[in-house]
Amino acid sequence: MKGFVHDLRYAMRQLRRSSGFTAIAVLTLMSGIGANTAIFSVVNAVLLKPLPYKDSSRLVVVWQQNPHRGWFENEVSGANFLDWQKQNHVFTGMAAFESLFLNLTGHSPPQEIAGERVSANFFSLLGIKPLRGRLFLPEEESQDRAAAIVSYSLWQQHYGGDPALVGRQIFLNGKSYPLIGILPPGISDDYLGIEAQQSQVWISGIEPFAEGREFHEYHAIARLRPDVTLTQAQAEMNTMAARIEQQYPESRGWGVALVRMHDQVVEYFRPALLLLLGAVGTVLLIACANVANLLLVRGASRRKEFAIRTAVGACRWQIIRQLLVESLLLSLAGGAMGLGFGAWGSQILVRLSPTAQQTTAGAISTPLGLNGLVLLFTFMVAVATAIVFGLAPAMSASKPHLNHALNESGRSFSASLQRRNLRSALVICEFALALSLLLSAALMIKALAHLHRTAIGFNPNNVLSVKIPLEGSQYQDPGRQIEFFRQFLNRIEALPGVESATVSRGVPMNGWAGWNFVTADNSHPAAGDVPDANYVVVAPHYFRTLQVPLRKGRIFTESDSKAAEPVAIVSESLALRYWPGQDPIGKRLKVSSDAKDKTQPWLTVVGVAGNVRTQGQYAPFIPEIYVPYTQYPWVLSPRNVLVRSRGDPLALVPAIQREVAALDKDVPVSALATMDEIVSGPVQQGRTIMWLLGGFAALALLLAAVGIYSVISYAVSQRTHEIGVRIALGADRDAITGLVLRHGISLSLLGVAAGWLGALGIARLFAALPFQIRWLLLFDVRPADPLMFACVSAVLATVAVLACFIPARRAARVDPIRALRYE
Amino acid sequence: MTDLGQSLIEIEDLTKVFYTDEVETHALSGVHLGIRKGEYVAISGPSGCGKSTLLSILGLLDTPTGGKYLLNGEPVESLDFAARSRIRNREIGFIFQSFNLIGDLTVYENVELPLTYRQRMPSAERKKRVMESLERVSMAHRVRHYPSQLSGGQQQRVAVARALAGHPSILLADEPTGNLDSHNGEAVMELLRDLHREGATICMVTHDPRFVKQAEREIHLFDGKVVAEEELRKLMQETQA
Ligand SMILES: Nc1ncnc2c1ncn2[C@@H]1O[C@H](COP(=O)(O)OP(=O)(O)O)[C@@H](O)[C@H]1O
Ligand SMILES: [Mg+2]
Repeated sequence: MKGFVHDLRYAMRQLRRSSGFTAIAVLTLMSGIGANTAIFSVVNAVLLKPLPYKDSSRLVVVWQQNPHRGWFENEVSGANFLDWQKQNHVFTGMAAFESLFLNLTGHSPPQEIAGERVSANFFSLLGIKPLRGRLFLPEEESQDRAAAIVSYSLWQQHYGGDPALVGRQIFLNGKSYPLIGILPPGISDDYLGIEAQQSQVWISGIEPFAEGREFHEYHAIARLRPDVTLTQAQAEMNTMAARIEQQYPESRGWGVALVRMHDQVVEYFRPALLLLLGAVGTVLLIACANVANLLLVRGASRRKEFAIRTAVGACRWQIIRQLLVESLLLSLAGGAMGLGFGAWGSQILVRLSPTAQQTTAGAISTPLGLNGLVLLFTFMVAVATAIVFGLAPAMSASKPHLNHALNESGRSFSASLQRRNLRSALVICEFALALSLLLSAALMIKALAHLHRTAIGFNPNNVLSVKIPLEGSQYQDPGRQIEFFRQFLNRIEALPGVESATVSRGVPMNGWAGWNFVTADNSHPAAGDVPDANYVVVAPHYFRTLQVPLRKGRIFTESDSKAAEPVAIVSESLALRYWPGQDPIGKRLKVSSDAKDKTQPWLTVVGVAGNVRTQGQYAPFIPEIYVPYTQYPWVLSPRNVLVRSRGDPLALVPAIQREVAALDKDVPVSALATMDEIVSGPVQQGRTIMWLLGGFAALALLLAAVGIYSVISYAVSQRTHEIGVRIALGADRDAITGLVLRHGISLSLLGVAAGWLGALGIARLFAALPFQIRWLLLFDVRPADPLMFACVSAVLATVAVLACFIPARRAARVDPIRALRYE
Repeated sequence: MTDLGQSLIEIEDLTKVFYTDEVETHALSGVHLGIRKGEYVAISGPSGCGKSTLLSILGLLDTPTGGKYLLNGEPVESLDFAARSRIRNREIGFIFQSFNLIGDLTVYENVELPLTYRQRMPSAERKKRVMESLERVSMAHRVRHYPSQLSGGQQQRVAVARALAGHPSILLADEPTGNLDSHNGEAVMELLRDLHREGATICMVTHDPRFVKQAEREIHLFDGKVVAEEELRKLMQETQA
């Protein structure tokens, strides 16, 4: 211990004395460790953090899936849910819920909040206890007994923490509910993963469930029995699904998928975070190689010191320990600075979430503070780092060369050769690692470029999207809603700076609703093969506002009223699929899975619109059916208003709020967003990864450049004499510059060659990822792209040349007289 | 070899001043010197009198502060670095006291080195020259060795081979025996004498009187000036006194 304290004191003195070296080493380590801290703090907050529910590892999300149609995590039908609930033996409980938006009134101003309608056992299934009041009772499951529970944050923010809130009535969508409980802080709708909306209120009354097994409207969660594994549960659900499939033809092709709730919550983030973790690990390795290189050089210059220590009786281990203590000090200093850097960097990572712009949603909203685990992680990384970069130089420096070192003139050829080879190997590794990182970043950049080039089918610039929820008894009559929007859209379009405005159910890239339909030409498709389309309810100016081109026929007009013939506009993809080679105008279809369905009229196709990327840039075009809101006002929910402006669309917000208030002061305006923001939502994660990977790759490149610079610089300083000889023999400046550059380039090319192996491995790894994950990370980019390999290699080689150019010029200016004199 | 030989080097009123830390060192002050083709000249004088400086200037490693330098009748004192490199490579063969072989290169590669700085020399020709030079110094059997695997005398012979490989007009040797024991030293001197007999022009710095006598002509330097032998002796006595 005393020896250690002594080592520590000596190490401090050593590091303080060579402050330039210390500064460079600490900065290098700071960047490497800091990047790791930043990514790890997100990994910790997202991947490692347990869900805030009791025994959460037993919670599963229950989905229906139709692999045949390419739907994997689909909402479930109410009838199926009730069957499962009754028949299963694998769950201690199952609960259903549906997400809603609710107008909270009774306090001014009116406010739209996210909420859920849930089974009465919902919270007890999750194992949540109320902070105040109680949870739902079984009899509150039915609609006429519905009650409400609010979140802690709503209680605090909206009701000012009123202690007498429980027992009062709460007005949601114009209806009053008894408020029976308040949840503890930190409880929201994390169980929805990236679809979390930060729910503030939960209401019971989910009974009666919507009928019809073809309507998939509910989310379902369940708790596994303690003696049942996920596989066993899945097997039983498969059996049940098969039985339901046989019994009910409309359920043909529908199976059940169980996903652990924790996996569900993190599935979107996990691949990205693991990718980034790999990237920062690589950066740290490069940083280690750099510092190891510095230490090797330093070790060479301190050989005399070690020889003296050995001469006075130090054993090799004591010298190694001394050097490792110095490494540890450097690493801890780098780690401490890295913590600050990491805390700052992790804030940027919040943008990984696609919904981060609209709400600070879901898992990522958990505070990214530097908690104990992150501190421990950073400390461990720093210690491991010190050993990784410190051990080899310490071993090398402590090798006994007693005689040689003491009579300074003797040059121990083989030992210096060994050290030189070690230094070269380190630089080669740095370049290999940098290549892998650079390649990954380049692939991401290419993927993003492809995503941006993807035609989305409409023009999102200068379009504002808001929600105007009309709820409550005065809007029960759909005619009132039509009237409201007719007046409202007229007022908005009359505003200066507005080009056009529309209301719609369905905004591209912001939710869609798949509905079954049949065509008059094929009115009885086999059950399970009923076509479906995104069902969009729009006002006449929808196409003009989004600039969706009309390919054929006409757009809707004011005369497409309730009394007129029911009409529809279909997308090109729908027309092509169901009426190939025919004129779709005049064709008829019915939005139902049954042609005999009397509740739904036949719609006549009056127009064909261009395809729109409704489900985001990653998804293909899906068929769409547009109907006029004047004929289907009751389907108009959510009620999105889109406004195309001549200038900044956000400038219109106050005017829009004014016009809404003028028509009905109890109607809120919510979900303000520009269409540009909505369109960038799906690519937000990709963009963040691209920037981060790009940043890490740039850092890696910088470190590799510094690495090769320092190695070549040192080599030049060691070779001054040789260069003098060469000049004496007639080498001109170009020959000397070339000599040094060749050295650097050959090192970097060896690194690039080694990197190709690593890069091939990475390409393999990407190729082996499950399709969905690969698609999310790389879109349609092929991971093994020879051109990309070549470009990245060229970038590295160029950087190497630039980094070596300074020492090369220095070598060319060596004064031969002086170089030859000192020998 | 004879007085009829053409003039190879002519320097007139050559001066060299080193400026370091506000100290001026007049290493050479007004040196006149001519060397004809085929001559064997020895330069001697006490340590620090400017012998190495003079040789560096003769070899175009350094530039004079003043004076004239004609090599093969051409003025060379104000050529640029590249031109001087070319002349060094073609006209000058250096032999150093500490051999100055490059440790990373084999014997063969060391000898080949000056030829690699020449453009457009066919590799067959290069190989022929390297082997000829190595045979000339009886080191052809050591081509694959590294300098560290050779004795000092062997290393100096390789260095002589390297100086010969480029077929220079003049060999400049700065105390070639200074790092050798007397046996090896004599062997190297014998080699130089043989080369001279075969027609080589040599200018050698030495302060070993045995070897000075081997040269045809002796030039004495004292304090940066050429002096006659008797004068040198007198000056030396004065300094010691
Ligand atoms: N590069 C230099 N800078 C400063 N002084 C030098 C330099 N080279 C030589 N000198 C000085 O010039 C003088 C002559 O040196 P040198 O030619 O090496 O002498 P010699 O070879 O005769 O021993 C000495 O006083 C030496 O210190
Ligand atoms: Mg000298």
